[in-house]
Amino acid sequence: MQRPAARLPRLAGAARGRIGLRWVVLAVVVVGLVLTAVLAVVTFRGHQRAESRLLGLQTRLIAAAGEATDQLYVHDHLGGAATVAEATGGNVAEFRKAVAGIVTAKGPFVAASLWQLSGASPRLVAAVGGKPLLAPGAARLAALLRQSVASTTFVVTKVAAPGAVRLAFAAAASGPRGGFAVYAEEPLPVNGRVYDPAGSPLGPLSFAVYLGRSITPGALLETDSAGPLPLRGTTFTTGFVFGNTFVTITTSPQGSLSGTVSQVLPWAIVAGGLLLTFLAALLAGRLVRGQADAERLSREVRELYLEQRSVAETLQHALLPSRLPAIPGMVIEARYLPGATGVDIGGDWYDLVPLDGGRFVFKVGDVSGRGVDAAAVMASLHFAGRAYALEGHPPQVILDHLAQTLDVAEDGHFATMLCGLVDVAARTVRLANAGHLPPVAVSEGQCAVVPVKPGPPIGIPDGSPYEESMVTVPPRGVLIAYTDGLVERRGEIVDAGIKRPQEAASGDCGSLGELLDRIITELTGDSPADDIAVIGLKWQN
Amino acid sequence: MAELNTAGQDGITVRTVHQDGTPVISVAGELDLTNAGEVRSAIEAVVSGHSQRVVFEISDLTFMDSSGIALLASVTRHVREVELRDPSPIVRRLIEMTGLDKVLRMTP
Repeated sequence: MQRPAARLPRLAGAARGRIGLRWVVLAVVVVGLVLTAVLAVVTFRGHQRAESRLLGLQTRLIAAAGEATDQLYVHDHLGGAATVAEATGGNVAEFRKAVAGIVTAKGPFVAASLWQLSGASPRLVAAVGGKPLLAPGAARLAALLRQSVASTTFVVTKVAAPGAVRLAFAAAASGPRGGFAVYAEEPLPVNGRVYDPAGSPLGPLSFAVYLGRSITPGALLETDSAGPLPLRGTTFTTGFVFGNTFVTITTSPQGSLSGTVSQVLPWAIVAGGLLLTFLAALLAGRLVRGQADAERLSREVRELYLEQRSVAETLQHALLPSRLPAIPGMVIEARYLPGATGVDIGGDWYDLVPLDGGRFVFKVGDVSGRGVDAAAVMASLHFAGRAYALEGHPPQVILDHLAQTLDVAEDGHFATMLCGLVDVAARTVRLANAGHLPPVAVSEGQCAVVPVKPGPPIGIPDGSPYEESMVTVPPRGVLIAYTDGLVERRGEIVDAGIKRPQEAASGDCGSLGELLDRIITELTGDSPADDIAVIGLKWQN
Repeated sequence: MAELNTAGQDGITVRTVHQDGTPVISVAGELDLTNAGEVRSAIEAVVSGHSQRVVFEISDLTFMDSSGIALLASVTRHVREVELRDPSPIVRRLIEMTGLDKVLRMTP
């Protein structure tokens, strides 16, 4: 019946181990994933910030360069030509010379013309280069020229014809006469599409340049993007003042500006983090499983030990009388307490054999050593002792006979024993002692050690027979015999121990059972270190 | 010639010297169930070679339980005369109370 009950905690323990394992591994995985995600996000954000800073920086540099270049060509050259015309009174040769370097088939300007604005409508003084998209006499051209005179800088507009798109510039001379202005056209790529020359600072960027501040298809000057406009994704927009208007530049990185490492780093962290998380979970799983195994093993060892101990305990309890035989005229109580510490049970026992004529034999004994071995020696002494008692031998003869059955040199154990033959009516006790502690007698609250000269323990013969002592107990007196677990303390002389039961038994007695319990509790507390056997005999008269 | 049989383990030390051909075995510490086996194997060779007389010098033996008594008593089964030299009062009373003072002669 006990075996299945003993198995249950083991199974429950194993289940508990598995649940613990699952939680630990889960916790490791969660922590690993969270750390990986946080690191990846932080790195990715850092990468993005670096990208957008680099994009801004590069775009502003491009804008600055564009501004400088365009100012140079338009303001200096066109404005310069107008100033020369003003100074020379509209000298055609001087005008041609001034614009010779900038008006060519390859650009930057494909057509230029000099206009006098003193009359009601602008008068063409000279024209250089190809055919302009805005023909002389066009209202838009006249408006542009007039606007340039009113402006402190050049004026710009976008003009389109089938198959051609151009930027049209008008710059007036700054001076007292104020009568001359230069008109020029710069070709733009059809549809705005250009190709980056190799090694251009715009290489890693897509860009779109617009005239004015608004990003609309109509305002597009040029772009290197084959995709849809406006540019999408990460973009940066800046611009610069261009004549009477504004140029807007929008850029977007084509790849990673800060390099491949920075771009790949967040993904490398994700991959590394996942790998580390997996390894950590694997390791944690193994550690936890190892610990669970060790705990299970230790539980099993403990269970085995308890089983072994319970075998010895069962043996010992089988030998101790479950109920003492009733003796007329006597109250008899006994106690047995297994020691709380130590590896095995001891070999303490007591016994009582009723004889005829109102007599009985009692024994208290203690086999040296511990464990099943000691319990087996105890068993043989117990049964042999009962047999010798039933044959009617007096105590010293019982001990003499028992001494023949045990040899410490061969068996490894010896036994101390106190044996008494009680005559209830006469209140006499014949005692023989094989190396055992002497009993105590209690009468009317007074307590004394009963001196019984010890012979050697059973198993250690010294060649001489045991001696007998005769004690007479007063009416209603009590005799208590016990084993050394009750009194023995390490580092203390045995006489000091023997005094303690006397002290504890003195005073008001109560019942015999209460007296024994009180002695045991006072001497050992709740958990005696060694095994204890105590037997008490009380005369009713 | 001193011979260290076992030292300091489990609270017990055993040393043997020979005086006029008699082994004098010094046992110091606490002799109990936990180390009686160790002491037994330490003195076995000495005791088995001397059937006449063995002396145990036990002035520094502070405690002995029934395992120690069993050990000393079993020596008396092989050796004619076993002498316990300088026992402490605790050990002396233990041997007297156990009725072994005839088997284990104590000096002084």
